[in-house]
Amino acid sequence: MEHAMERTVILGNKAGLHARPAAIFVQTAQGFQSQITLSKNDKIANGKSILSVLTLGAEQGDQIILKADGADAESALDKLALLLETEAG
Amino acid sequence: MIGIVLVTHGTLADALKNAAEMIIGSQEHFLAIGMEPADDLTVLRDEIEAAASTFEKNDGVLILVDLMGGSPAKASSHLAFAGTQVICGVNLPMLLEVLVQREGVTIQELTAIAMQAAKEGVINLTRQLTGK
Repeated sequence: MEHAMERTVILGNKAGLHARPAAIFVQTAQGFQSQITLSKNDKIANGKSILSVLTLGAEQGDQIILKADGADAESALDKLALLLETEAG
Repeated sequence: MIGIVLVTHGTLADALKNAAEMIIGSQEHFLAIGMEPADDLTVLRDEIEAAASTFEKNDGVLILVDLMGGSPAKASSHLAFAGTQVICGVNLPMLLEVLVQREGVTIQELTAIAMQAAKEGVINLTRQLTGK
């Protein structure tokens, strides 16, 4: 069943969502059918575009709203939220 | 996965590959070809075509060249005439986006992604940080 879901996470990685962590996030997001977006304040980034994610400029401690829209939205959120909160976050 | 062939003057291709892999890890189906001043254009052209035909056997190939009009571009023009997608003006933003998004897309889609990413990657950091 297709539906849009969202989850709020706090970015965990010390170096923020840049370069390698951003690449890991985007490559993981690519593996899901769902559309993925991240929002920080009023800026929205396409989770499947590395440039979009890099220009979001998310730093450690930032509150990020992660959204997934599609058949695998829930598993996408589970996997991606974990990435943001810990290793690649 | 679509193969990527980088063709540039000097060591730019190797440097771009090195920088990209530093950021997103080592990549398959990704070849850098650099042209030295004394290089024969025919040899260069053959090298590019050999790389392209290897990748064509999988999901196709996208050729990224440093500069319109230079020898790398000229050496790739034969392929361009035959319909292979060749883009001039490669930068690191374009390269990163292409490498990360090349699974499950058509060559046309990847070409459009490349063109867009190259432009979107040019950002005035000073203005972004200070508003000036």
